[in-house]
Order: sequence, then structure tokens, then C-alpha cells
Amino acid sequence: MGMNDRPIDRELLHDYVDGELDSQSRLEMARYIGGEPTAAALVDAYRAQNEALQSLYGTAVEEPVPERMAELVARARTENASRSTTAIRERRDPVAGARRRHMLGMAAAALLALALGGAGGWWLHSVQQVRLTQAGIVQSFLDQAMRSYMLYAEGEQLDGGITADVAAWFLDHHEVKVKIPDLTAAGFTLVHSRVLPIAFGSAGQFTYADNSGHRVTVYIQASVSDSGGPGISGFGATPTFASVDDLSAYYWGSGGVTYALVGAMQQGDLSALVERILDVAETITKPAAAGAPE
Amino acid sequence: MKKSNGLIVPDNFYTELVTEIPYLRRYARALSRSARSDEADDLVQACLERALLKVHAWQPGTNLRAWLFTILHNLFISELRRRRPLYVPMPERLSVHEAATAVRPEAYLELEAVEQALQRLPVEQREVILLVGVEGLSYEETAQVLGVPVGTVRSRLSRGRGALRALIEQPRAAFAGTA
Repeated sequence: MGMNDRPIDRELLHDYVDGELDSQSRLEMARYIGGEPTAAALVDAYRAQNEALQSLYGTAVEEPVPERMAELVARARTENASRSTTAIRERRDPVAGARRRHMLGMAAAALLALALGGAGGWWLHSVQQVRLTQAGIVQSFLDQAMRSYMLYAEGEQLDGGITADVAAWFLDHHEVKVKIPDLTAAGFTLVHSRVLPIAFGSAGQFTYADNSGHRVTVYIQASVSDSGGPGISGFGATPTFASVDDLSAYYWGSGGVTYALVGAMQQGDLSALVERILDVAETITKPAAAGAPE
Repeated sequence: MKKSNGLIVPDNFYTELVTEIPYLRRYARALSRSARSDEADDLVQACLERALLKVHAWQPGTNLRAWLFTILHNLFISELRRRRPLYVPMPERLSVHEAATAVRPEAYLELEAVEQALQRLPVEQREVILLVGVEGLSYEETAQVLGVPVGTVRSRLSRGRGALRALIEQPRAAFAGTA
């Protein structure tokens, strides 16, 4: 039953002009129009209207995108990218993250000024027992420990999900036996561990989480060179407290390895945790002693 | 686990959005009764702001152009209702493009006449004529953008084109409106 068998619905002329007909119907319609001058005139008129309107307004399509529109989209794109990237994820708000990074940078500058004999004593309010001669090394270590916390331990998901054998790595590359701290009695479970690349050595990070979603990390470094790297100078066996914005840390050194316990919590809460690690650290300082790595 | 603010949007959404801007500008300019292109651009800017706010409502892989045109249409209509013009001013300056000389003589229409006639159509007819005839949307897509059934698109198109034809052929005739 083709279209030839009954009168053509004039409304379908629009479908024809606008390409809404299937190929068969289109052919039949074209045949019909060929023999019907009034229908042909209508088709011509509708097509001419389209073309005229395209001419009238088509230049807008060739114009460059106005600056305010391009900027609006570019800004949204940047904001989206900074949310999506596996770089710093703020668990609280972006302002806090930016503030932390800023303060880390400022702290580094302040310590540099101290080492050079300049002013900048405000940093000493937060960091106790910082020896000026080792200030830069300690600051660099803390900076790395805190950035690793922000990079890999914050945010809703742990990045990568890779659990590396940090102990094996440190044993292979530095002949140091590392025992993974057990914080389960304090409500923290080990959820992630990774090896991190640093210059002149290796770093590892263990991430722990409690039931409320709080995260702490134990960040460790070992040096490959005799003189370079963190060494032990500046890192006493007794943990020292440091904080930058809302991030707190205890740092210490033992057996050729420097440690930091990092968390977004008050000093009191963090000190309760570090005591547990110290129990563990006793065995680490004696690499040949009993207590094999986990 | 705490959920973070802000879902992750695929980066190509933003590049695709930029490629749609010229078409949004064209449609806004044709819709707008003003000859000032910055008014039309204001509408597009508002459309982009709205789209960026609502980005999570858009499903990747679906028709981005139709989604954007829907937002633009809704903004245009709400703006129209807000203004509620009692008198529709004629465009002060009509642009006759040189492209007209390239049109086949037998199908040639004076662009001025077409522009004037279009502006005198009811907005519902103007929209379908532009979306179908200039923006190249299908009847289905047009129905989606305007939030009406396909049958409504067809009847508005039919009436609008008929009215345009009458206006162009008899430009001085009083236009009673066929909507």
C-alpha cells in the first residue's frame, strides 16, 4: 500500500522538506510533487524560508566565542579538574586545603630564612626542638609526610588501592627491617600501604582508618647515601610534635629510618597513637632482634 | 565513608559545551526581538551558567545540543513571561546579508521581509521554525526542547510556515495571527 494509492497529506510536505521521511516515502513524495505544481510551490516556499533564515542568522555560527562565555566554561573546567585529579583531595573544603599548602610553603620559606639567619620565628611556635642546622632537612621531611597524607590518605577513596609490600622493599633496598605498626587497639585498621618515590632514598606510607572515617598515616623514609637524605640528625628517638593548619604530626628517627605519624586531629589524640607505635619502634631499632616483619 | 562534594565531570563535556556556543548564539539571536546581539548573548551566558550548575543532570552520551537548547528555551520563556510585553517593537535595524545574492533567483526571498515576518509570528511558531529550519533539529528533538508532543511541533510548524508565507507575499497586510 504505497502513498500513490491515496491523497497525499499536505502536512507531510513539511516532513519532506525537513528530512523526516524514510527513503521510500521520500521517493514517493518526490514523485508526487513532480506532478503537482501547488505542492511544489509550497515545498519551494518552505525551503526558501529556511534558507533565508539561515542566511539571516547564520553569521553567528562563524563568529568567535565571546570571551565571557569561554572564560566561564574554562573556569568550570579547571574547578572540575582540581576536584577530579588524584593530586590533593580535600576532605573538608578546598579553602582548608589551599591554606595548608600555603602554610607548608610559608613554613619552608620561614625555615629557610632561619637557616640563613633571617626572621620568621612564628614557625617555632608550632615546631619544637627544631635545630637550626637541621631545620631544612626536618622541614623537607615533614613537608613530604604531610603532602603524602593529603595526596594519598584524604578523600573518599584511597588512591589506587595498591597495597605494596613496604617491608620487603625496605629490606631489599636499605637492609632495614620495618615492622608495620599495629593500631587496632586504638581503633585504627591498616587499609593501605604504598612505596613512594623520593630523591636519594625510599619512602613508604601506611594508611590507617577508624570507623568514623578518620585517617592517619605512618610515613617512613630511608636514605641510600651515607651523607644525604634525612639521616638521623634532627630526628631524635623521642617523637616531636609539629602542626600545620589542621594537620598534626609526630616525627622521630630510629635505625636509619625517619618516621612521621600524620593525622588531621588534635595533638592529644595523636599522642595516644604515637605511644602505641613507640612500643613497636622498640623492636625496629634493633634490626637483628626478634620480631620478624609482617 | 564520607562522600566528597562535587562529582567528577568528564573533561570533554567542557570542550563539547564550547563547540555548542555558536549554535546557541544563533538561536538566541534569532529568537530575540532585539537587534542588539548582546541581549541574545546575555541569554546564552545565562544558559551556560545554568548548564554548568546542572551538569550532573546531564547524562554523557545523550544529546547535548538538545539539552542545552532546552535550557535556553526555558530561560527565554521565563524571561518573556517576566517582561510580558504588551507591544512588540519592530527591530530598529535590519541586516541584509550579502549571502542573499547567492540564493537561487526562483527561491529568492527578501531577507528583510523574512526577518520582519518572523518577528511578527507568535513565539511558539517562531521557535519551531527556527529549531527545525535553522538549527536542524528533528521533530523529536524539537519536541523534547520545547516540552511538547511531536504533534504539537508539527501543527505549529505548519501554521507558522503558512503564516510566514502569507506575510512575505503580502507584507503590508494586517496580520491577524493564526495561532
